[in-house]
Amino acid sequence: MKILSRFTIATIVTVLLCPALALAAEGAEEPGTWHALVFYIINFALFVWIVKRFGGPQISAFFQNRARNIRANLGRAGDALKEAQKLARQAAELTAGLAAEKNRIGAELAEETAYQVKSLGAMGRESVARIKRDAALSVAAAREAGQRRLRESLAAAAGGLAKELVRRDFQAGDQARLLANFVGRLNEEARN
Amino acid sequence: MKSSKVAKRYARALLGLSTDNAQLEIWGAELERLARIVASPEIAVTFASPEVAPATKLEALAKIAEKLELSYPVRSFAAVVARHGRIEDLPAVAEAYRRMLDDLMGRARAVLTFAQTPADHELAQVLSGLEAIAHKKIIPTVNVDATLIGGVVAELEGKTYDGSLASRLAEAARRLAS
Repeated sequence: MKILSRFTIATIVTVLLCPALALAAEGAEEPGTWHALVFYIINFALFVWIVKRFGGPQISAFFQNRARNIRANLGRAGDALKEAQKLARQAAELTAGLAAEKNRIGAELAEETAYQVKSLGAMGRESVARIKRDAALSVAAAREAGQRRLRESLAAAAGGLAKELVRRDFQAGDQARLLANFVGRLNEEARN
Repeated sequence: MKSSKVAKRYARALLGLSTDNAQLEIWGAELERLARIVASPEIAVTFASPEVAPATKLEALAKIAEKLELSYPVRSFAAVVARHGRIEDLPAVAEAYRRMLDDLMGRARAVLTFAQTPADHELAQVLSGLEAIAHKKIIPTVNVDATLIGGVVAELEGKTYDGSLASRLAEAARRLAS
């Protein structure tokens, strides 16, 4: 505000002291004279002095302030540029990394897939072999169980038949022989 | 286990009352008769019931002893057992007494199972074999089980000696099946 008022005063003074208005009132411009030149020089020097006297510090401060702001803005713009360049570099690195990662993951997936396919194949072959083995064992066990059941049935039938036959034909002499045999075994055990 | 230990203690006490083996045998027989009565279900329920007063149990046991015409030492012994609340242990006491008396007399008991009632000479034949093993005189208890078909099964001192025809046939059938 203070700067503006000083500019206003300087402008008014300049206008008042400018001879152009008076000269314009005189009609057509006359050819230049030394007197006019000196007058203009003095007039300009006075103008310069007044401007420097009243507006110099403010103008200087304004331009210094302006220069400082511009330098600050330039600094910030530079920082922003550096930051942008850094981000761009990081983005580029990331992009490159992503591509490498994509390639690596792709390779790993391919490798894993191949491994799984191989494993599944091995497991499948193993399962088939195991099923075959189990089936063979089951068949053998079933055959064995069937044979055993048959033997047991035959043995039970034969035992029952033998028991019936022996009971039917059992004589006192048989009992005597059995008892003699039994006592013989007891005596044998007693001796041992 | 505890009851068994108690029974042995009582049995040992009764055995210690006399050195006369004949007397001990008589007491053993009397004690077994008394134990059989006490162990019979209808009497055992009464003696086991907490609703019956100990004095009543003691009186009942005394009456049973009197009816059985037991000797005075056995009646006194039974009274002592009853006073200590051990009437239910009398069968175990009788069993322990019998075992101790058998040991004292150098004899063992065997359960013999025949397919049919054995003749005397058959029984004597089997007993001689068992005595050779046990080195004791054998007191047999003879049972008859027709399913044995022939031969004999003897149980002596926790071991079973099987000489029956049925077991031989079963063994043959087992071998045939295997």
